[in-house]
Amino acid sequence: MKNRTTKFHLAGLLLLGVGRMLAQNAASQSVEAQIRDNEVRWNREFEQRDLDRMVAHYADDATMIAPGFPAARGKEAIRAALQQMLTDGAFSLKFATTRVEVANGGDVAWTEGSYTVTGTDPAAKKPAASSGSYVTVYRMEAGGWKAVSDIASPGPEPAVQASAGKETTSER
Amino acid sequence: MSAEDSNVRQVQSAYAAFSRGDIAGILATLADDVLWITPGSSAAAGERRGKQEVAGFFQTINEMWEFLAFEPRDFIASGDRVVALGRYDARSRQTGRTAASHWAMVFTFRDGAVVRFQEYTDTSTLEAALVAAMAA
Repeated sequence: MKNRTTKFHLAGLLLLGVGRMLAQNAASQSVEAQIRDNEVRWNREFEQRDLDRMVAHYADDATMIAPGFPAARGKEAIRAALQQMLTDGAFSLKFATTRVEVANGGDVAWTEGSYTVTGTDPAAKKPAASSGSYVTVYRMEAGGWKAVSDIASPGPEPAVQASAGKETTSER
Repeated sequence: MSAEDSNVRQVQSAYAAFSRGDIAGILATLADDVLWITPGSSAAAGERRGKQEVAGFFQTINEMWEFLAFEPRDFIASGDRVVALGRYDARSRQTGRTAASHWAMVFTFRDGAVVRFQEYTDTSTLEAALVAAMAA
């Protein structure tokens, strides 16, 4: 009888553990979908040159580093930097999410992806494009997911590794 | 200790080794076939494969920069990856000019060793400090 009770307890604990794992996995997938949707929207806002919405993705204390522009710390500095980018009529930015990671029980997430930026080459005085990769770290705040660190650098795209299983590209 | 905690410890150990100039200590955290990616167009930039090439990277970095501060601040682990956020201040050994940047470094692990590293940083600011030497 005692053995049977112990087995029931073990089976119950196992089921509880599996249930928790499934719940965490489902929550992570939900966060991943939110973050991907967020980056698709953000990309559209760059296309529409909607400064207010572009800035709204950042936390108040965020850092933004974009190639060719001074690093910006804090939302107002980020607004000024983005505004400066938009003064170039040839400016455009397209980026694609390669990977989303969810951490800290769903309170923190980060993405990697690739970008292509076009702007007026000051020397040639005509549009020139360059590309690279980025990593953006998000924190869940009252207003939703906010970027706290957004760094883009010229260079190759992030890894696509068979074992990882999360790499799908979302055009944004 | 979970695999994620162990990965963060490995990353912290690599940074501690870097801070004391212990390149062998960094290499000890890497897989033999590690892919090491640094951005931009300076001599330090590009893709390197294997511990020997990564050792060459640190040699190049040491010839280019004197680090005045190197501060890893946040470590976020998820599955086989760790992203570290921090900042550094460095002085170009060629120009004497200083540059500072926040950065993100992404480590991917396999069997407890770093199999891929990619750095994201303010390449414009760093390279401006280096280009000044050529203009002078």
